[in-house]
Amino acid sequence: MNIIESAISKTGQRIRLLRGLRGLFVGAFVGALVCLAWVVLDVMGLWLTEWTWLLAVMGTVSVVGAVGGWSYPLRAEQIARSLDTRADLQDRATAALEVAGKTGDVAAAIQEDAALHLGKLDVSQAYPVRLGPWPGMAIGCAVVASLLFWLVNSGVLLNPQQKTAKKQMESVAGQIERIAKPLSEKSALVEPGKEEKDLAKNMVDMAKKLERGRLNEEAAMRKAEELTKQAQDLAAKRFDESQEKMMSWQDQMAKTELAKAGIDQQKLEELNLTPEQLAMMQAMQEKAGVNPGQQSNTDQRMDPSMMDAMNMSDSAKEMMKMTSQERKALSEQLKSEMEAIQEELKNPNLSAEEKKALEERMKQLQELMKDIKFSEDVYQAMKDLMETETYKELQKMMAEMAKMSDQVKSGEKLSEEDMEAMKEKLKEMQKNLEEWAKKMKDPEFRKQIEDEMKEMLEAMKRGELTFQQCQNCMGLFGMNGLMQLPGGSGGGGMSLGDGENRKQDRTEELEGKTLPLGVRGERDDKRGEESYQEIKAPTSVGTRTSVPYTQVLPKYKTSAEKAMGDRRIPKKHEGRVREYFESLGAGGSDRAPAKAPAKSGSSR
Amino acid sequence: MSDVQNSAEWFRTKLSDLREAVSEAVVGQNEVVDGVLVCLAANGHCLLEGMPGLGKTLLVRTLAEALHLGFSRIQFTPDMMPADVTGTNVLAQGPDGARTFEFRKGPVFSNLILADEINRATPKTQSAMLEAMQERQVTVGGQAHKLDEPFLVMATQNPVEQEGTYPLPEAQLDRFFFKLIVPYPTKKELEDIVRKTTGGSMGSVPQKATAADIITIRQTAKMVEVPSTVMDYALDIVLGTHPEGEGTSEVAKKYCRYGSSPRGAQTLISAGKVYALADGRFHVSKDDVRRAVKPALRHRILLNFEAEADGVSTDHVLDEVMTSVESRHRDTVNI
Repeated sequence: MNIIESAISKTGQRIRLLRGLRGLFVGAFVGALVCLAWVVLDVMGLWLTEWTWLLAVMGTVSVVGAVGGWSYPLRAEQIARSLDTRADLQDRATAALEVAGKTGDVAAAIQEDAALHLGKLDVSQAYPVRLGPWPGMAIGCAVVASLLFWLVNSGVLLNPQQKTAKKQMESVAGQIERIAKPLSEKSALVEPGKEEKDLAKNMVDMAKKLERGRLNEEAAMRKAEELTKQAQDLAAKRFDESQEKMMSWQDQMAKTELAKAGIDQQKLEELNLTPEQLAMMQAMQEKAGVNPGQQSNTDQRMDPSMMDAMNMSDSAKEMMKMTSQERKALSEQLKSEMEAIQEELKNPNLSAEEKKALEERMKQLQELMKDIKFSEDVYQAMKDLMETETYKELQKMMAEMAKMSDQVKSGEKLSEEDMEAMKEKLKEMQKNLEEWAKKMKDPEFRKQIEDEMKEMLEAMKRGELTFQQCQNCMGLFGMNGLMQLPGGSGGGGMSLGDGENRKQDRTEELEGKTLPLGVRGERDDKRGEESYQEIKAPTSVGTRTSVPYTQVLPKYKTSAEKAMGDRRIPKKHEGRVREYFESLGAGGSDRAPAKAPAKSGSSR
Repeated sequence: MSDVQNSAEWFRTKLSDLREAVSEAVVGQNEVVDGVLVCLAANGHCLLEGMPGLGKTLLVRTLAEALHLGFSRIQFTPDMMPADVTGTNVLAQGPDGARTFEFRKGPVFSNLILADEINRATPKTQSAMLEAMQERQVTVGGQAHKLDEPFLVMATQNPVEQEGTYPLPEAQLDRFFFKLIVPYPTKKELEDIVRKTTGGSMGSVPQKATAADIITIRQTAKMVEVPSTVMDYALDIVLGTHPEGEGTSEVAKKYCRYGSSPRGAQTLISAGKVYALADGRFHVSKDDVRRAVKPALRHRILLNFEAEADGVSTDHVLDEVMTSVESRHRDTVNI
C-alpha cells in the first residue's frame, strides 16, 4: 500500500469513526425523544414503562445510529476530495487518485507531489472531533425524560398518606403479579392460550399501574372486577370445554360398548342420555330380552306424522318407541340421578361453574322426565280413545265416507280436480285426527269431545243436524274438512255456495297457514244472494298458539282499521270487517279460544 | 528529479525571473503582470483596460525588453486603415530597373504588439487586427504571411472618453485570452512610481528569456493534468454564466444576456495549467481555476439591461456564479 492509499485509508477510518460518533449521538437524541414520548405515555397511564426499558430504547437507538454512521457508504473519491478540501491539498489527493493507474513522468510527479503532502498530513487535525449540537440535545432530552419519570414514579411528590396507600397498592400489585405469572407460563400439561395470555397481560398491567400508583382505589376496583369477570368467564369456558371433552371421551367409550351390543346409536343419541344411562339401558334390554333393533308395539300404533302433529320432541318420540317397562326403568334411573344432583347441589363447596353445570344437567333430566310423562300420557290417551265406541263409530263412518267418495268417482260425475281435492280432504282428516289426538291429552277435553260426538252422531241419526252443521262441529274438534264433500268449482273449502259466484271467483290455498280453501275475488252483488260461513275458531293446522285471542285481538283490530284507513280494503267490504271484529269483541271475552263455538251466519 | 520536474522548475524560474524583471520597471500591478505572463505562457492575447497613465505601455515594453523580443506599438485612431496594421504591397524598383510589387510588413509583424486604444479604430481595422491575432497570419494581395512566434497582442482600451470609439464586438472580445483591469496604484506604489520616474533615468531591463524559452514554456504548460473534479468545477462555472440551460445559476438568469463561449472553458483550463505549473504542481487545482475566472470570463459574458440598471458588474456576477458552483462542489463527506 503506497502513501496515498494509506492516507486515504486512514482518512476513511477517521471519517467512519466520526460518522459513527455522530450517529451515536444522533441516535441517542432520537432515543431520548422516544423515551420522552414513552414517559409522557407512562404519565398518562396509557403505556407503562420502566427504567430498564427506557435505557434499552435509548441504548438501542444510539447503537443503531452509531452502526449506521459507521457503515454509511464512503468512496475513495469522496475521501480524496474531502481530504483536499480539509487539508488544503490543492486537489493533490484527487489528482493522485485519478492518475494512480497511469504511467509517465507527469503521473509519477503528481503521485510524488501528493505523497509528499499526504505524508505530512495529520488526519486528526484535518478531521477534528466535532459532534455538533447532538450530544447536548441528546443529554438534555434524556435528562428531561429521566427527571419526569423519576418524579412521577418515585413518590417524591406524594404526601405520607399517599405514600402509605402506594405501599399497600404495591403489595397488592405483587400478589397480582404472582397470580398472573403462572397464567402465561407454559407447563408440562397446559399450554396457555391467547385468552390466558391476554388475561395475564391485563393483570400484569394492572399490577404495574397499582405499583406506580396510577390507579386510584375506585379505578382499581373497577379494573379488578373487570378482570375477575374475565377470569370467571375464561374459567367457565375452560370448564365447559373440559367437561365436553370428558363427556365426549365417555360417550365414545359408551358408544363402542353399545355398538358391540348392537344398539342403534343414532336414536340413543337423540335421547341425550348419559353414558351411564345408556349402559344401564343396555343392561335392561339384555335382561328383558328385547332386541334393540326391533321396534315396540306402541311404535307400530303411533304414526310418526301423528307424533309430529303432537309436536313431540325427538326424545319423546324415541320414548314412544320404548316399551312401558323400558320407560319405567329409564324414569327410575333419571329420578335417582336427579336425587343425586339435588344432593350434590346442597354441597356448599361447589364452585359457581360446577353448580351451573349441575343445574343444567338437572334441567336436562327434568326435560327427559317430562318427555317420559308426556309419552305415557299420549300412549294412555290413544289407548283410551281407540277403545271408545265413538271412535270406533267415527272410524266406521269415515270408511263409509271414503266408500261414498269412491262411488261418486265411479259415477263419473266428478272431475279429476275434484277427486284430487277429495283425496286431500281425506289426508287432512287424518291430520286432524292427529291434532285431535294431541288434544286428547287433556282428560276433560277427551270427555267433552266424546260427549259432543255422541250428541252429534245422535243428531245426525235423527236427521236434526245438517251435513254442514256436522262439518262445523268437526271443525271445532280440529277436524275441519272431515265431512266435506267436493262441491262446485267456485266454492270449495269453507264456502258451500249455491253456484252464484263460481264464474268469477277462483280458489287458492292460503300459503299453508290453514288448510281450508279461501275465496278471493270481487263479489258480484248483482248475482243475487250468496251464502258464506265464518268459523270463528283457531285454525286447525299448524302450530297452535297458547296466547288467548283476547290479548291479540286489539292489535289485529288496530291493524285492520289502519288497513281500512289506507284504503287497502275495498270500501264495500269495510262493513264486513268492522262487523267481524265487533262480533269477536262481544263474544271473545268470556270464552277460551280453543273451545269457542262455531258461529255461522249469512249475508249478502 | 525527473525531466518533467526539471522542466517545471525551469518554468517556474523563468516566470519568476520575468516577473522580477517587469517589476523592476512597473511598480505594483502584480495581478496584471501575472496575468500578462500567463497570457504569454498560455499563448493568448490580452486586453488591458484602464485609465491612461497607469503603465500599460510600460508593462508591455518592459516585457518585450525582458524577453528580448520584437516590440511594436500601434496607436489606433479612427483614420487608421487595415494596411496600416498588417502592411501592404508597394511598387518597388529593383537594381536592374524592374518594378515589382513588394510586401512591406506592418507593425503587426512583431513578437509583442501593443494595440493601444484599439477601440478607437474602425471596425474594419479592428477586424484586420483581430484576424491576425486569431489566425497568426496576414493575407495581403492573396498571399498569406505568417506572423513570428511568439506572437502576443496586448490591446488596451480606455473605459472613459467613449465618444468616437468603436467598442469591440463580443465575437472579437472573445478572442482575447484575458481581460485585465489595470487598477490605480496605491499610495505607496504611486510614491515609488513618482520617485522612480522623476529621479534619474530608468535603468535598462535585463533579458530574462528568449523566444525559444517562451515556446518551451508553452509546451511545458500543456503537460499539466486536469483532475475530473477540477474539470467539472471549471465547466460548471462556465455553464453557470449562461442565463438558461443546464447548470445555470440564479444570478446568471437574472443578469446575463449571454454567457461565456466554450473559449471561456478552454481559457480557464489553460490558465489553470500555467498557474499550477507556476505553483510547482503538475495538476490543475480548483484554486487555479478560481484565479483565472475573472480575467478569463469577464469579457465573455454580456450583461442585460437589468444588470446595468442595478449597477451589477461582470465581476460581481462571476463571484456569485462561483459561490453557487462552490456549494455544489463542497465536501460531501459531511461530518
